[in-house]
Amino acid sequence: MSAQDKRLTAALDLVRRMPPVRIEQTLEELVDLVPDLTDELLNTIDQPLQAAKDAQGNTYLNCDYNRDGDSYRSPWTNTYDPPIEDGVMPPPHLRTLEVAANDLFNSYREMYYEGGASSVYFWEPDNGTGFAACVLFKKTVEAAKKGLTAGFWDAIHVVEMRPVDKETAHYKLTSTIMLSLDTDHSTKSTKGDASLKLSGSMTRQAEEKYAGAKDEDHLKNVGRMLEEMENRMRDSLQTVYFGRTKTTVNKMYRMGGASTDKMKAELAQALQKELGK
Amino acid sequence: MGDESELTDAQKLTLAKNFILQSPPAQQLKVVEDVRALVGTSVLTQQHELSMLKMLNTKEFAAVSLPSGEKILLTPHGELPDGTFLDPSSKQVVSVDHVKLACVNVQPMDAALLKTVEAAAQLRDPIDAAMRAHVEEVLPTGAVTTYGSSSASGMEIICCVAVLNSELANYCAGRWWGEWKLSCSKGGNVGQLTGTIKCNVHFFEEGNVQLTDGGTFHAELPLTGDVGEAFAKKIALFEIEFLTKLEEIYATLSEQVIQSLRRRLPITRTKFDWEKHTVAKLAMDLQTQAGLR
Repeated sequence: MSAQDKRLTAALDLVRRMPPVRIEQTLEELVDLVPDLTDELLNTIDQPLQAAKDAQGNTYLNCDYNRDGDSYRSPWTNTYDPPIEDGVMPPPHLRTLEVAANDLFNSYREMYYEGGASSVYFWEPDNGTGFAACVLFKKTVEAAKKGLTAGFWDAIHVVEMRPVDKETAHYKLTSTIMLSLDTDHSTKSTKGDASLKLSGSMTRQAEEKYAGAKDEDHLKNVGRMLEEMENRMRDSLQTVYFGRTKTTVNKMYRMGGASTDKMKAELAQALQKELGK
Repeated sequence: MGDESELTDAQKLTLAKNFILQSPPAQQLKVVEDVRALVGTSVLTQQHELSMLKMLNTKEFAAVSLPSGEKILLTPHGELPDGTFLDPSSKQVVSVDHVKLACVNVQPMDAALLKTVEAAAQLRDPIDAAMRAHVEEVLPTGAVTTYGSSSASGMEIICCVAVLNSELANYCAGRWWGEWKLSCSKGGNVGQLTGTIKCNVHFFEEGNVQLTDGGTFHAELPLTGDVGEAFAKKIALFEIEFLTKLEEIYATLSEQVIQSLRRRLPITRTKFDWEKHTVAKLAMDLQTQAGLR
């Protein structure tokens, strides 16, 4: 491994261990520490999405893929804010696809998210064939209504499409979902500070080959893959956030008492022995 | 690279310390290794590393096993000016390897130290015994260290408990720690009991998910009768309240809240119709474009 690779590996390992609630600061600090890896770090490390409003009042989501310098492009108006000259634009055929995809995933968002915001950005992949796109969703908790202090769900899906032959295409999907929940943990006897934060992100990849040559095939294929992925990841997040963390707490603190647990185990063992006779 | 915004060594060291002090449970040496790879050993010297690990171990009540097999916790209340740690139970002073979290030497307390420890023993010892029994029951792999001090105005007992759950092969680790202080003024018959519960869990398979939970508690404790028993009972009550509330919070978050963020299925209970929507959108867009021409 080169010295640079070694540092990138170390930086990414750190990101996996530092508190997810301060991912933005962690990323900033890493960029300060290893400025020569800035591009790699910004490309690889997902950050919570920021929402913005364009001149027509549409909400859009910002990420590294709609950024040029300090300006961000709205997928609805196709203009940069703050305005810049010669900002990076998708080529016309990808812009057509981008417009359709924004409409399409906006309908998908309505069905699954019942609110929130979505944005889709297209660009030409480095090798020139096919396309690359990212599909973003953001939903914020109505904190007061749900009794929370704060909370959000951010989904970042990056898709790469590469034609295999005249009839089939290869799709690679990398999905990250960030889920963060923040709530009060007061009880009858607490006085002052009592809070619970459950936050973090999970990333998964999928690769598929489907029949697909026309734009509408690609949109359908990407849509189905993304829906499948989001549904599976939602289940995983639920298991990890509310199952795995809880199991770990229960392993440390035995509410029933260790001697009760031991007695139960002994009883079960005795019973098994009895039945085994 | 190498521009004017390059950090100074002192700034790098501050960031290094930041990272190390935020290590998730049982992974501080991995974090140190990563940080070392980023800043280099000329910035993060072995001496810095040791002092940062010591800070972290003391902050999170790391446990160290004594040659006797008993465990003590490293806490700010037991740290002596020469960097050794106090064990009021065995009346010894312990030197610690902060990297390996191991005991390197134990020495009996000197007369002066022994005298201060014994001055609070009448209250410390029964609280320590009752809390050990409590911890054995509810935090069976945990440890307890109780400190006492006495002054002209009264007595102060600080009881620290901690447990670490390390399952790094399963990408999971957790830490639970509590710090409980009983302040009694001279001649008073009610003491002030305050303290905190903290609980962190880290899960890092295909991601990084962390639970950071905690609460500060307060109660008055009568100083008549079996104070040790009453102390441990109060702590047990706080802990049960805390965990019962945790169950309630989890029940709400795992159902209503997550469903309000992103539904499991659309309200129609059927998946999105990509066929229908895609054809409709593309047709519409082509029309719009045709209209614009």
